[in-house]
Amino acid sequence: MSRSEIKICGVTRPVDARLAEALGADILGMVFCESPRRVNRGMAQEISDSVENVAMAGVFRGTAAMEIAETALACGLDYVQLHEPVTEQYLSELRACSAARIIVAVEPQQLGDEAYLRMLAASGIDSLLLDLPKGCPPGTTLTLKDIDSATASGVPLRIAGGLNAYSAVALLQLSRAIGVDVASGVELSPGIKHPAMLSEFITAVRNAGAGRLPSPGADGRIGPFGGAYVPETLVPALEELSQAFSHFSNDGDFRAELATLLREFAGRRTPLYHAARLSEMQGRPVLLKREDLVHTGAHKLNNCIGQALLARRMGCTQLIAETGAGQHGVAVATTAAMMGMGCRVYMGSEDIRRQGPNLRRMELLGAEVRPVDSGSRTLKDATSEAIRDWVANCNTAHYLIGSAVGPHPYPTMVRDFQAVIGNESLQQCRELTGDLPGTVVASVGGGSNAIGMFAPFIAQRSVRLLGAEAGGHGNASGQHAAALGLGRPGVLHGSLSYLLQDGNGQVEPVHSISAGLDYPGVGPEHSFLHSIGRVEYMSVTDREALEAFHLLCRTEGIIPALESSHALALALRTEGSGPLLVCLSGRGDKDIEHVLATQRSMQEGDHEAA
Amino acid sequence: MKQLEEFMVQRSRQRKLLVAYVTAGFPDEQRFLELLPLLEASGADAIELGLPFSDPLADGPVIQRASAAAIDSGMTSARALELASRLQGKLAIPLVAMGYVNPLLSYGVQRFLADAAAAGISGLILPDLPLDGDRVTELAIARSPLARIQLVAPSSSAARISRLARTSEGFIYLVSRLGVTGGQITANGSLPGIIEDIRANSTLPLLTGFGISDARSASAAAAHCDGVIIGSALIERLESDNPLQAAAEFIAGIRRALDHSAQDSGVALEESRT
Repeated sequence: MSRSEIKICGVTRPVDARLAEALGADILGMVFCESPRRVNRGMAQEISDSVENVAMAGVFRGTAAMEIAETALACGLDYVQLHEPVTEQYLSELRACSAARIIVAVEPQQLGDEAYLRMLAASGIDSLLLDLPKGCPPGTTLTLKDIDSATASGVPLRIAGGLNAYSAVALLQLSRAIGVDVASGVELSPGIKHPAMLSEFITAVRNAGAGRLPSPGADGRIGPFGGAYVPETLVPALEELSQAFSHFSNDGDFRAELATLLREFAGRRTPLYHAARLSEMQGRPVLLKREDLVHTGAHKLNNCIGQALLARRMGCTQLIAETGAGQHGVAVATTAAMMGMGCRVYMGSEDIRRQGPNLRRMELLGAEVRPVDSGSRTLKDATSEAIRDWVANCNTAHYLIGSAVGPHPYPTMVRDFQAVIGNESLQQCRELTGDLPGTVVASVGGGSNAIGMFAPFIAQRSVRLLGAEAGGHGNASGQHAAALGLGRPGVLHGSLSYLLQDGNGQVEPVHSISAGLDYPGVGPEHSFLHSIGRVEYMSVTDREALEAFHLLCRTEGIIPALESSHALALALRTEGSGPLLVCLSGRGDKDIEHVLATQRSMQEGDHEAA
Repeated sequence: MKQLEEFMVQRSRQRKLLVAYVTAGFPDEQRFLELLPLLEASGADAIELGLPFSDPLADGPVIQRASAAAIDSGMTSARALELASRLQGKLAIPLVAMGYVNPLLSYGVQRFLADAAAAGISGLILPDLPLDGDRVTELAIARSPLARIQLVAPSSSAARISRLARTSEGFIYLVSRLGVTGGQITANGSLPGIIEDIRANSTLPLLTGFGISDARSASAAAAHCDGVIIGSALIERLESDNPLQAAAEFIAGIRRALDHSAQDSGVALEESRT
């Protein structure tokens, strides 16, 4: 990634201009058309005079060329930025009367107009600015497709559209845009730049590493998603956790202790198994990342060890957790036992019915399991109950979330602790095949194994990334858990993300054969990756997952978890070339009773239908 | 100054304030409409109108149950606003909406604020939207006629307490203890310090809520501040066989205790220490 240009737009005060200049912004924008950030010539001159080493831009809409030229001259504008569809004649008039370089703002819907883009490319303008239209619903972002078609015009492109520290870095990493333009993303109120946000934004863009997924800024926003929608009581606990996480994730002792436990206690690194018989069936190498071989039988332990080490350093003596399938609960109970900490696990009574063996494992490990009888009696309600416990005990207890959901910093923290899956896979895939995978597939409930697996591949745009959502009885049935496919952005359990909800904003009941995917929401980073179009999320039905479950048992001698069976089913129905890498997130021993019972009832249903 | 603030400041000069929380449409719409004027007559100074949400994270089992029952009988944010507007002219005390972020976003923040104001609602409490949690939503509320009531928690830092106190509108909601609504109030040594910090930054009425369950806990809490907010304990009365009478008697009892203790705050202070 070459050095990206940073344009800070909507500057209304010299003090903000000087700060942006000092922090290393390249261009400052001032708005001369109708806007809460509008300035007049006098203000603009004052702002312009207050800085030296930064270019100035003026934003116009529907202004006569001559007037723009006069303003540009009077206010020392190096750029003029035009915010309406322009004609060739208008551009040539403007070029005739002003030496300022021209930026033309375009919106995604205009990108289909090839003639317009050709005209702009031929007219000698300096650059394009791709922005979102005003008044987009919450959760709207530019897509990579939009950005690609704008850069395909050959005109240098800057991107805007409600960027923040996270989305600016992510979209620059994934595209050929030359720079970013931000206004509201560094403000608390319109036109007043917030020093800490400005500094955070510029620092994030300047320090962005080429392949590393960005972390959100202090507001916890992953593009428009994420954040921390929590009771005031939890705000200090989350701030403390954020600080501890950013401190210890770069601490040598912490990392060494984590690495040792992952190796010697959890049994990493896990194999990347070349599934020979499946490969033959698929006509391409099928590589299974064997997270089912992690101690306790699923990837969940990676995150538990990381968070528990963090909690211990923060002085917490008690772990609180929610669990769906019970895999996370077992992993937390295991970690708590190993580290001598107390442990309370909330589990929906419906899930207890489906996943009895895991309940008994948790109890053997010394955890207190509290059944949850409210709502749908599944993961969603267990999570709510765990959060309520945490609100009351945040002085001494750490809430150990098992998925890439929840308020900031949880989604990022869980991603980083699970990224070991993807990092190992990337290296192992190269060792085995000498190449990157062609396709990577993982199942998505909240999405912890998927985000961990995808993390190092996201910047590799040649790698196709697929997330398998729980399609339950099918998308049309209303009985599924496909939050990304069929939900819309909303707030549940502390963050803004795609959510299955009714027209009144009530969270809808969901269904999946897999207790681990039976959740109406999804991690906010998945919402972002879905929204920009980097990862494709598709539904896999209960029936397809069961077929994949049996197939793997019989062809490779591996009993997969029902969660992982969803990923496998999606992988096997996907055409493509290059190695097919599938995250086998857990083992299926816990599911055997449930699989047999479900099949009996499906067969009875088929009989009746016949 | 927003309308709610004017009323609450004025009223707090006369007596200790009593805010009664009710879930919209609970126990049923008809009795809900009768209930609110009754609560006013029994001594409530404002009504906190709970907009039901399927996953109320900050609420304990009693309010969860009432929310679920209201949703089951068809209650929505829109329907709650309709009920509020049917009460216009029948209440002299303000209505403050208490709701979670998701139904608000789903309704559309701007549209909700306009419709709520038109329905006579003058304030808003959002237990899952902390200060700086969502600047677009917060800016829209700040520019609306609705007062945004900030919650201050026992765990809030001094810096945050001062910002919460300075940005709150209408009144300030002091959360008495770590935890969700309902249950018992517990002795909390840090409250006097927090109250001092709030008073140093705001002249708004300061009300204590969470765990105020009877006359005794109400007068003990009110001795240190300008009044109390009662939710779960009132909802429990509404779950009884004779809900309206039970609720009215309960609120009247709290009113008497508050008025009595205000006359003799020395006694209340003494009680609160035991």
